Amino acid sequence: MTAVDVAASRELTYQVEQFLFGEAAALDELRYDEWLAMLDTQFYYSVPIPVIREDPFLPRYDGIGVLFEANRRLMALKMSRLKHEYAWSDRPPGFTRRLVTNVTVETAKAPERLTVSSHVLVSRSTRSTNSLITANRKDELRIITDGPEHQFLLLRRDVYVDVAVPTHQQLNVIF
Amino acid sequence: MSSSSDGRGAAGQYGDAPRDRSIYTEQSVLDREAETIFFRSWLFLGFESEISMPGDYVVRQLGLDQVIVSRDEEGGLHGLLNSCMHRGTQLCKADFGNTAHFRCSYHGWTYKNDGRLAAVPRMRTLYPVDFDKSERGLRQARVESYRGFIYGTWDHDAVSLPDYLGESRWYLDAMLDMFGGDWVPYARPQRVISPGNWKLQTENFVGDGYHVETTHKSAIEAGLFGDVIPGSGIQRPEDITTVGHQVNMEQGHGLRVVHLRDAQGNALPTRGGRRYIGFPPESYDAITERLSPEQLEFHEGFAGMHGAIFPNAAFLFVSHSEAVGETGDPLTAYLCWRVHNPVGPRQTEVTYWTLVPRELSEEWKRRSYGYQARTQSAGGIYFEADDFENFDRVDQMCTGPNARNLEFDYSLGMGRSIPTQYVGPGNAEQILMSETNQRNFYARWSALMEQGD
Repeated sequence: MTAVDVAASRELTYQVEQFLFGEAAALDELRYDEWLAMLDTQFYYSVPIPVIREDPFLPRYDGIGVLFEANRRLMALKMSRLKHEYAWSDRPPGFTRRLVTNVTVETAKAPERLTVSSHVLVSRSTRSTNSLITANRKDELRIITDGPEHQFLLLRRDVYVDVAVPTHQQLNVIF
Repeated sequence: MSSSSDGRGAAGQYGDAPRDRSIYTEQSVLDREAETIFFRSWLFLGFESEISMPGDYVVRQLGLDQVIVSRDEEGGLHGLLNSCMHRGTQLCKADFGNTAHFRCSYHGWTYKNDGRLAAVPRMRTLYPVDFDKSERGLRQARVESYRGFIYGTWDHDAVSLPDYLGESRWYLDAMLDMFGGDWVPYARPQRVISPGNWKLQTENFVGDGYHVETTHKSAIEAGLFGDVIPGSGIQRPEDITTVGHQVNMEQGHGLRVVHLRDAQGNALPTRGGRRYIGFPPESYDAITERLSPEQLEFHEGFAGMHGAIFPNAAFLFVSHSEAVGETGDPLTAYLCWRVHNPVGPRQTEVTYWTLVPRELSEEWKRRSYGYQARTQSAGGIYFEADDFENFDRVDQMCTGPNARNLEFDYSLGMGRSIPTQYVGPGNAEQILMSETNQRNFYARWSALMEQGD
């Protein structure tokens, strides 16, 4: 890699990080319309099922089963009801904080796509519960405007939680 | 066992159930349940197709004990207590796998996958000369399977599984027979630990139709349940009425069935042949051929069913619209089977499987699974989250010194149902929403807690 390539890849990683930080803040601060605007129309989200195998070298997440999955429409359904009193599990909202870290960016095979890996620590607190959970997120981003200032949309997110059997309190977040 | 009109069970310490909130919080109650409810009942373990090959195993809860559910070399099923007979060490920490033997990590005692003790290191040199391996096989539960549904019990004097399931079998058959009994879980089960006592979730499934229009109001308004019946000639929701039946059984099982009828309460017209909401039209003729006349009558206008097999298995059979899928998706059914295992008195581990008919297309099966995964799933932040929210809120208010003595009310539907000759067996009432199944569930619970059998 030339020095120019390194600088370009650092700049791209920095911009992806800023995008992810902004996304996390939008979720933490309940700015849901802004978050939905960061999603591609074909957005798909999944939380694969963790599996405990005796052999450490077997996959630790099921290739088919998911604890939860959603598309953009379902996320919008959940968020659009927040103004109404019958969004029972969201009213009152808890306090969440998403710490996003360990961001690595690769150019994906398809043009204008990036494969991004990041770790997230999510804390969540309600009157009755406090929970923490970490997870790895494998994202696919779509580059919608080219450099030097890129803009991105989130096309796909697969969440690999770091627990064998999570509690509802841990899982009841968008990672 | 009595099932009295005001919901009280047998007289005695538990006779005021379910009104006394301490039954949802106290370890002493859970300890008693372990001896009675979870000892005497058949408890759901999994599906035969999850352990189809010799050597396959899954590790599951059988009530409050952990068991290895295995398929031996001859194809037999076992429920082996996951505890070495030497020092009690947990033998297997994995969720599932395939093995001919289980070796204890501590002193190396090794068991065949049918539970027999196969090898004890240094047995011949260090153990007493009359040490008998055959007396030290793993403690085994009794395991039986009904149409691929594996249950276990610690009570070796219990009635057979089919007798235990009793009249609930007719309703299970009415679902399974649509595709000749050939349904399999689409994927490995989902698991989550949810707030609240295991009975709170189970009583919800056994017959709570009352909560849907409040808890799931947002889902109804989003059109999740669909508002037209394709091809029936009835397009406007005002032309459709919903008819409900509550059915319960002496073993404590219960279910609620919803049918769609026209405004006069008659069956919807079946112009162009019978149809089965949520399933692909190309499967209709084959389904019709497989069903008995009574089952065909049951499926006329059938819109959904949910229920519970005493004490802690539950199911949901429902259809959802494209509101949770992709534009253009047809109304799609899913059959979700669940078990609610206690993790202490105030938490429940919920395990979910989505069953799909093996013969349907991969596209349909994936969509059916996806609809469950998006709504009533372990990580469901929409739909299921609102149910868990309720259980958390109930749990929160069960422990205050003034709250714990406040009685619950279980009178919904009393004196308001229509006596009915129902197509299926069991104690049936025609009423869309009632707590009769909950009253029946707790009557059985009380009797077992009080008398032990």
